[in-house]
Amino acid sequence: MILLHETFQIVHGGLDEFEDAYWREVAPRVRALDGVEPLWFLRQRTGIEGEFAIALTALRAGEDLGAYTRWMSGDQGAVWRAQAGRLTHGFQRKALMAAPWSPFNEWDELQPILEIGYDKRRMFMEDTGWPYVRVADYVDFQRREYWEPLQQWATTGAAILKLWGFFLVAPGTGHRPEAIFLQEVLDDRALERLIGEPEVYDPNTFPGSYMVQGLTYRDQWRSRLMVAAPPRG
Amino acid sequence: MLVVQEVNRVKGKAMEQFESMTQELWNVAAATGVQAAWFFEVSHGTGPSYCVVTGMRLPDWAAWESFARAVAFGDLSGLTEALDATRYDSESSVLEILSEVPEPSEEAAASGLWVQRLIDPDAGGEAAVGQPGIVMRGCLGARPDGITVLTKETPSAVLDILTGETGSNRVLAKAESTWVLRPSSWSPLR
Repeated sequence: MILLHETFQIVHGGLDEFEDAYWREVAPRVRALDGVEPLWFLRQRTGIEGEFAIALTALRAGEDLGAYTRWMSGDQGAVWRAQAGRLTHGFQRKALMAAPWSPFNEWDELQPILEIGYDKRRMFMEDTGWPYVRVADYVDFQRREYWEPLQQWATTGAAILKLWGFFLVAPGTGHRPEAIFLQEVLDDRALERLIGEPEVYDPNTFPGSYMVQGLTYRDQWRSRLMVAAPPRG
Repeated sequence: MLVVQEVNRVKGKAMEQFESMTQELWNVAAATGVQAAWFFEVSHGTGPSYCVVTGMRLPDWAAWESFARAVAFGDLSGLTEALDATRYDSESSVLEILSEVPEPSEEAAASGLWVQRLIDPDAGGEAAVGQPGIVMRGCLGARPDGITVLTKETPSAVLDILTGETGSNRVLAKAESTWVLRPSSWSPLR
């Protein structure tokens, strides 16, 4: 599986109109393509970057990615391009590839993810990191010091984050080196604690150990909190 | 036919290693269907220092996926990391070739300069299809759906382009960004 990651920087005040156009002109139409499945539409209305949205689309294989890009750039995508062009001031289309130990490797994993409901607000956190060490070392660090401790934590029933996946930006699709953790916030109270977290970490306890050791691998990353829009149509 | 193009911010002291690592990566990647296409430096006076634009051709999207998986977590990851050690970072894109026509002018064909023009989506760049040079559509990366035109130009034409004194080609005049590129002595596309 390949996860397509499209970021739209939206003109001020245009988010709702943009989202309407996405659910009308894009989601139902690309879903009709074999091997293409719109997954999540994530939006942020207020923040450093102003209004933006990220559309995540699952693609079964490279050929399906080709079909998607042909649809988008061809006559069929013209209405969407015109609306998106008017409502955005920036656009990037990346392809993400999941680490071997992460979900989002197999197409069969998709169906149960799509069946999760939206009966209460769903909030996602995307962490994008730019390592200054070998990419393989950074990937292994994230598995060892973040993925596995949080998976262990989840077994206790006290998890505050659902780790959806860890990805590298595929060659030909954006910045290198760059990696993305995609997570869902399960507990708003924990999020409030995270936002007001102390600046000094205990290197012997999680997440302090992760934060302190992480400086060996990178010191620049970006966290984005976004609301997942309930699918329409 | 697809092209993976990468704009590299190379560490100045590691320029020679960057070149040799790129050649090695291309040689090994040939097994996944990759064909070396170009190795250009941004010409002095036109942009950032030690900025190298590399291009690789791939026959189709299945070959791109094989290559991408090999770079991310497979057989090409080690070589790519060795390349990473010679650069600060890179920005890459996947382009689909729409047409490729040899330069008819002998003077331009003999010149050592290439010019890459980036035209926004739906700005009429498709009209360049069939003209001399390589016309490509952006599929992935920073400029999806836009048109990129790579042409060979004489040095005097390049000066006209840079000073804005050329206007004979209405399609190319739509470019919102123009790069002047000097091929290395060993670049497949010279």
